[in-house]
This record gives sequence, structure tokens and C-alpha cells, in this order.
Amino acid sequence: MKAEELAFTSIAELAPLIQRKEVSPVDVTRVHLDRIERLNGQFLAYLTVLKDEALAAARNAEHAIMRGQYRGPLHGIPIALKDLFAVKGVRLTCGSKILADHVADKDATVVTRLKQAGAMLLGKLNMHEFAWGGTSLNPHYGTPKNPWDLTRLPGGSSGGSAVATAAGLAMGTLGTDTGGSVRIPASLSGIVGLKPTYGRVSRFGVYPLSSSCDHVGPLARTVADAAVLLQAIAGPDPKDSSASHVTVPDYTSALKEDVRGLRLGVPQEYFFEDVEPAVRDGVYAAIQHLSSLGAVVEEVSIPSIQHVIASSTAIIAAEAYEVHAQTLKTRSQDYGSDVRTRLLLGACIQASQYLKAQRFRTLLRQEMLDILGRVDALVTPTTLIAASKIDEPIIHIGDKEFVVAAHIARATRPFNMTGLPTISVPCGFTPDGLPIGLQIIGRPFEETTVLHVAYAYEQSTPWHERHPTSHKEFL
Amino acid sequence: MDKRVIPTSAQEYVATLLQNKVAEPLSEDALKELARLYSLLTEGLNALDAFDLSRVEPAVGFVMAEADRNEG
Repeated sequence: MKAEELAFTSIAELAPLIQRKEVSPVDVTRVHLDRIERLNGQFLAYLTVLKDEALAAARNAEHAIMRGQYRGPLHGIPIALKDLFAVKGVRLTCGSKILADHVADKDATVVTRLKQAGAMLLGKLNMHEFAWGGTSLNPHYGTPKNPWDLTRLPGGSSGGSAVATAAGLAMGTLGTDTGGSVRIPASLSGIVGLKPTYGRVSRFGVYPLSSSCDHVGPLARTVADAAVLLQAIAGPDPKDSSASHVTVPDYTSALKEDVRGLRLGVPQEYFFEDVEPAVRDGVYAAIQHLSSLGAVVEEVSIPSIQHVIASSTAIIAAEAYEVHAQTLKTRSQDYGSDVRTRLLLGACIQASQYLKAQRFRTLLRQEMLDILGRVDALVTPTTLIAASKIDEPIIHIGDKEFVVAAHIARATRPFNMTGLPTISVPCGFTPDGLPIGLQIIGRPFEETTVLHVAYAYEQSTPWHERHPTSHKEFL
Repeated sequence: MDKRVIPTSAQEYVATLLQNKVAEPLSEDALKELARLYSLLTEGLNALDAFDLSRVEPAVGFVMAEADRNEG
């Protein structure tokens, strides 16, 4: 297998080759490290590269596999992490100048689990500072570039994770999602992003943004790879009281192509308002495609959803301020101006406002659960816009003007408020060649359903076979 | 509400509240932007009064309820 081919193959395809000793984990790791060395200067995906550590882990994996001690589908697979996951002895910046020299003294639980599964850690990835933004614009380390068009945003806050995955600089990555930060960059960068149910994955050792909205999830080039990564990291954790004891199912067994009879709800308000026409058309075509596969599509209504942005802003901002209150007192000038503003907005929120938002959240969640009692999943656009230019903070849709940083998370935030499992899967391209994402939402702890629908869609469409390799920068 | 109009009270509220919360004083522009955002947020939260939330429990509990759920 040629190096470029290896870099864009899927985990699910490569794992059996590694298991059969036909492909060496050391070779796979070298291919990725070479690409990072050659291409990261353009993409700005990595903040820290763990070259020696990754090669040492690859050699260990190879020796183990040669001895017949194969651990499973992540054994010998090189992956990378958003730079807010603690890896013992490795720099943990959170994309901020404030933590530029901070070194973690422990492994996050998900890091321990990935290591136990035999994965190699290639490095730590660029992000929106402290994960408090959906663009990945970063004044401290530079903004990661969208591999489909280097002048455009990859989305955020897990922007480096999406870029590394889409550009063949890692076989899969982990990110965090507080208002859409796994799904937004996945959508804008043409890959799969999975935000599991709140509590499905431990957050021990993960730098917090908003405790009641933070989720850890995988970014991958295929739905099957997202399932493999989730399988490795899901489950209870005595170090994180919010990590659920609900039994972890076999996610790969959910990967079926038959969706006949599955009921899909399409919300009639909010998600298709103020949407770019090319995105709307792509998502409607995807829904039509699912219908042609036998899914039963029906309109549903979530009347209270119009109020979700104010309430989610109050909750995230207040909780984020609580995390940063002490640092703001001593180093407020060291935050990027956008993040400082958002954090200080949290300082202004009154307790009564926070509680009102949390009460509304209960109402919204119940409304969605009622609907999900009648349908198996909801489908919406992941983002209402495709990737915008890095230097254009305002976009126009029709005769209206929108702030990109705010509009980008409009369709994803509701599901951080409700904690429901949600996946973004590529569903086409705009006329400018920019990826579009379809968002699929399921009932609590029914990641199997969203994986099932996403897999059926993916396997019957060509989008996952396209990689941004046409750019000469990749060669 | 006209998004360009920043009530003086909001700016005063923000400036007073943040006095001892930042290492360096905020610029006039930064205070204005914060006041604008706070006014918009307050307006959005006031709209929630259309719902009868008095008997609705705050959602902070659902996260622990999910964690405690045990199918095993």
C-alpha cells in the first residue's frame, strides 16, 4: 500500500491488515509523522508532535502483534488528541498562551483507554482557545486551515482534530463538544463527528469549559471508525461521577445498511431557517435519500427551540466563567479578546438567570424526548453554513447578515442542552466544493441508532470516498 | 430591540460588576461590547417568561440522573 493510500485508508480497513501482520504499525506511524512534518506548517493542525513516543509505541505494538497479542481494532493505529486532554508528561495548552508551558501530570481516562487499546498518540491538536468558540480562530498559535480550501475555517473548537483527520495527518482524533465543537468542524471539514450522550464518556483529565454541556467524542473519516473509537472510550469511570453506568453496547454491530421502517423526524422550525441554500439543498437531498432507502420521514415540531441560544449561552458562559474566574483576576490580558469577552459575559449572569435557563433546559429536553418517543431519530443540518473565509467574520444569507462565530453553532447547541447522542456525517458539497454535514440525533444512550442511520447513508453515497487530495499541498 | 442601542444601565452594570474581576481594566469598546451582549442575552432570557417554568426543575439534575441510570 502506497504512503498516500495508507494515510487515507480507514481504521476499519487497516485494522485487519495489521492483525494479519500484512501492515506494520511502525510503517503506518512513519507515514503519518512524515506527513505531519511536511504539511503541518500549512494546516497548523498540531501544536505538539510526539514523534519519539509514537514510534516507540508503534514498535511495542508491532512486537506484541508479532507475538500474537493483538488487542483489537485500535492496536497499532496512530491517532491524535485535541490539546485539552491530559497526557502525562506532555504539554497541555488548551490553545491558550496562559497554559503555554503547562505539562500534564496524569493521563485523562480516555487517554488511558486508548493506550490500553493499543493506539499510538501522534500528538496534540490545535483548537479554539479553551474550547470557547466554534471557529478555531486562534490568536496565539495561528488558525488551523480547512483542508478543502486553505483560506477557510475548519470550524471549531476541535478544529485541529478535524483538519488532522480530514487531511490524513491522523487516522482518527478525539475532540470535545460543548456547543457543537466536534460536529461543527466535522461538518465543515467533510468528516464524521460523534457527540455521544452526556455521561457516555468520562471527562476525567479533560480541561472543562462548561460542566453540564461538555461531551467527549471522536472525529473520524468513516462512521465505522467513529464506532471503533467510541467503543474504546465509552463507559463508567470511578474518577468521573458524571460518567454513566449504562451498559456499553457493541457499536460496530449497529453498522447496518438497512433503514427500512426506521422513523426519522425533520423539525419544521429553526433548523432550516437562515440556512445557506446550498446547505439546505444538500441536507434535503440527504433526507430524500434516506427516504428512498426505506426510512419513514415525517415532520415534527419543537416549538420551544427558538429560545435555545439565549438559554445555552447563559449556561455555558456562567459555567465557563466559574472555571476561569481566578485566572481572569491575574491574567485577563493574556486571553484572546473573543474568549475574554465570552468569559466575562459569564461573570455578568445572575444566579436567577442561570436557573431560569436550566429550567427551560428541562422543558426543551422533555419536548425532544416526547418527539423521540414517536420517531427513532431526528435529522437536521449540522451547520447552517459551509466553511467561511478565515478573514470574513460576517456572512450574508439572502438579505440578512450573520456573525459567523454565532451562527455556526445554531444547529448543534440544542443537543448539548439536551444531552442527546448526535452524529454529523458528510452529505455532499456546495458548488464551491465545500463539505456539507447531515446531523442525526437519537434517544439517550442510543448511539447505536445514530450510527446505524449514519452508516446506512454513508455506505449508499460516495461522499466518504472523497478526500481533499486534489490540492497540490497534499502531494 | 435595536442591536445598536446599548442601554446606559447595562454598560454601568457590566462596568461595576467587572471592576474587581479582571487583571487589567477593560477598554471602553470592550465594555460596550459586553454591555451589548449582556442586553441581548437578558432580552432572550426574559422571553422565557412566556413559559410557566415555576414548576419545572432546573436541568442540572438530569446529568446525574443519567449517570445513576444503571441497566446492569
